[in-house]
Amino acid sequence: MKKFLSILLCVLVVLSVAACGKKDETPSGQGDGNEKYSGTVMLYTSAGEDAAQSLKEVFEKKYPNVTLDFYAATSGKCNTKLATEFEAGNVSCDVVWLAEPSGLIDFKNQDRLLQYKSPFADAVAAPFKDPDGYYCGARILIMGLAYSETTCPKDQVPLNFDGLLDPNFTGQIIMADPNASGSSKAFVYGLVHSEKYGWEYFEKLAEQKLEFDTSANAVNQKIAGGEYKIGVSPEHTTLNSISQGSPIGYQATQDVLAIACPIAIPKGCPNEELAKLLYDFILDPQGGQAALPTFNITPIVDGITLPAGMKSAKEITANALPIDWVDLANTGTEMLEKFNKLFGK
Amino acid sequence: MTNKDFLKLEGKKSGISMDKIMTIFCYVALIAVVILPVFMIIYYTFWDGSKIDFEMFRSVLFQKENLRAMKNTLIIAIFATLFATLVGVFFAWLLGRSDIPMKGFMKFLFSIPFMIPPFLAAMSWDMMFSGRGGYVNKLLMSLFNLANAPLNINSIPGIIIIEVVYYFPFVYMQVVSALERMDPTLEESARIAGANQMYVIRKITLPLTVPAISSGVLLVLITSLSNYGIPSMVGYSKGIFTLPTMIVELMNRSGGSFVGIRQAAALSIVLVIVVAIALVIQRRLLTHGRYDIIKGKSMRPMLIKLRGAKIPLLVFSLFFLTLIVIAPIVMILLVSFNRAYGLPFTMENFTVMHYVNVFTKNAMVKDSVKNSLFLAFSAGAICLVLGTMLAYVIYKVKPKGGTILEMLAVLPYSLPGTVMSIGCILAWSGAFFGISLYNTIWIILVAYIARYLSYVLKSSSAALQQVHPSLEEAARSCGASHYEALKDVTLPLIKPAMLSGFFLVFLPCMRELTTSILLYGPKSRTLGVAIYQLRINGQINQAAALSVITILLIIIMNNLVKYITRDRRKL
Repeated sequence: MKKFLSILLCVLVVLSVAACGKKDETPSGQGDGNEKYSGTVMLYTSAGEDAAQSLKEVFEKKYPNVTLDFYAATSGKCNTKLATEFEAGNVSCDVVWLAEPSGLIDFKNQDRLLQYKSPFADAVAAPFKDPDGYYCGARILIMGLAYSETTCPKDQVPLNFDGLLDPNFTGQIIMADPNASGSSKAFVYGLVHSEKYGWEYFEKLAEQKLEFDTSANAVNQKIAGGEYKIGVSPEHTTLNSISQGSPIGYQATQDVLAIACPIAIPKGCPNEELAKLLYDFILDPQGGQAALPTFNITPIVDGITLPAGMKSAKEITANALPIDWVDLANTGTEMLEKFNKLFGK
Repeated sequence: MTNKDFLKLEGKKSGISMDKIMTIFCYVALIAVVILPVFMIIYYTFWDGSKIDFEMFRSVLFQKENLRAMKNTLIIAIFATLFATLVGVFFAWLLGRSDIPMKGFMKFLFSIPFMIPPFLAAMSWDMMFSGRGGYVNKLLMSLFNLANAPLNINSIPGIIIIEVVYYFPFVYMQVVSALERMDPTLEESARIAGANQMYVIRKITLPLTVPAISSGVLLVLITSLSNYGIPSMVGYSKGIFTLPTMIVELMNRSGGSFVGIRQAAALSIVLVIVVAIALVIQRRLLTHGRYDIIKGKSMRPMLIKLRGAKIPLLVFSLFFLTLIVIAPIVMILLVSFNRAYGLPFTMENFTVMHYVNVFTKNAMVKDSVKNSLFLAFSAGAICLVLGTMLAYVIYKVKPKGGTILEMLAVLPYSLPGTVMSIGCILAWSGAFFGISLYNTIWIILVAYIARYLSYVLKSSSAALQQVHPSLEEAARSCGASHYEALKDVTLPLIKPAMLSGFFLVFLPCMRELTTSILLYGPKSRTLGVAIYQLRINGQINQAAALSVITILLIIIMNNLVKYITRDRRKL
């Protein structure tokens, strides 16, 4: 029955998308039988408090009898909390939404995740999801260049990652530590495994005296404060700072480094039915996906009206440096050891 | 007198004595709050799911980078403790015993570093002293025509300086209450016998405050050993790691998986051992003399006239306090009124928008204010009772295994907040007696009590050691019951120390982050968590605004409690 209903819903959505084109006005859930879902569903998310709050609003509007509670922290904290809950045998999370998949791959290997092939997952490109349906990308994070508007004039800003090797930037570059930040780790992996960059690129960056901080926000803060001229940072973090008026600029790079931020349902979650409902809603182009661009977050499916300058998922997939997530999960530790040696950590 | 009253007076014959009840109560409370979570951590460190596993512990222990982190931790802790003690004792003497003016104002300033969330403090220090972009550095460079920045906060000495500034109030608060309760006749007799002022300080005043100093030293030492905030904010970009930052790093590296948690727990055990050694050494040193300096005929100690040294000392103190207390506060205020982070502080960038946004746009803030007030008050009150009882049991009842009690009470404080909270989740998710507190506000309360109990224990025990047993004995021989002697004699004597213990717990609880961040549930966000979330959203200015509100709240509460508990007999 559940499956039937979700398929029906999916068909309806697809039909309505086909019929209305890019209209983003969704009919509210009244009369669709959405009232029959009731209870509380718990989301652990690294997408930020604002985005989680707005997801809560649209979700609760569609399902008036369901309460969406969320825990918003960094990916590492969400992971630690979940791993501890698994050990204690007391899982209180229904859906987890992290910044990158390697933690979920570990959980999948430990048989901690529920297999769920959402009807909405079909619209997500293959490199962005687990073939077995244990997790699925639900937003795209792009790594680009953030620069200080006070110390680095726009015409000096490089258009690609190799521009960081300019002597102008010696001792002036910062990024989040790949040991602490999943997106930075993916950045290192993507560049190390591309023919154009490889380890050689990072050897040169070490000579450029690249420095590190704990998180993307700490990085942007130091760039905005003028302590560093330029850094590698996620697009939406930088764009959010810009929209607040910080003297920081963003430059998208020609080589695209894109990370799919995945969702998954932990085994033993308190409410499996609602977990699947939320999972579907997050991937729904008319639901959670449509709420993302407000926070400068790129949706993972196409068919959503995007603000000017935001690339569609299709465009990104076509140009992105390939990242083999399963390989990253397996060889990540070795890679970081080599990386740490290179930077004398 | 009836037979029943007689029995009550004797204590022991009417069943179990009060001392015994208190001892048992202490053990039970510590088992619940401390032993269970810590046991879970140790259990998961050495139990890999199927067998006992020492190999992991060994490999973590002897990894090169971990050894380097241990070395850094020790260097920082030793120097930070040394300087914080010197600064703390100096100011305690100045404010407690000299006639320096503006005492009230300075006393108030001392409590402020406690109220500032460490990340904001580090941020403001960074803004003042970082190699590039630091305002003080820029000023010095232009004043003295220097090519390079003279000060670099992102270094081990930098970390030590910030820790000294942050921690010297620990020593100050302990010592000042001891000085205020000291029997002045001892000093007076020395003066009458011809000793000069410096000699009196060296030979009489200082030795008598040894218990207070040593408990302050211990608090600074443990805090420094286990502090995460300062080294991570200041040392990270230069690759300076300490044990606590390494512990979190290990967790992050494994993406938060349980293997990482186990490695982190293993490294935390090393930290606990170091702290235990420090405790044993402190007890050894303290057994050499008797320090019960409050005897029956006590009065207010006389103040020492500074004469010519008054003005220079005042100028120096005010300058020092401005630099370490006012400057960070001003930085935070400026940031909270600045339109966006990184813009110059000019009138056109001035806005109150962030204050408005914090309250109107954010549903969680109101909840978090309520939760934090509840948690800080309850944790403060419970620690006050439990900590003082523990101090009494350890130093006055002296049961077998008193040292163990003390170790247990101090141990959680030496564990990094994250590890302690993991222990709490493991212990209170139904593992024992089916009690599950997870995702409720109570688990945070339990964690706070465990984490900050040692503050009250230290301040109350330092005070208790100064109370001579003859006072209670006198009360008893006049017919007071054990309970009455305790209530009417001992407790009033140590009340100032108990109150300062309460605030030592209350202040950090109001903005606590590292434990609460893993423990908070949908209904139990705290102020620290709210500030953290604003920060990871990149809304630094709003985070600063909320911190200012937190600091104001703390100041209001502080004065309210002082007003309610003020000594009415003096009125």
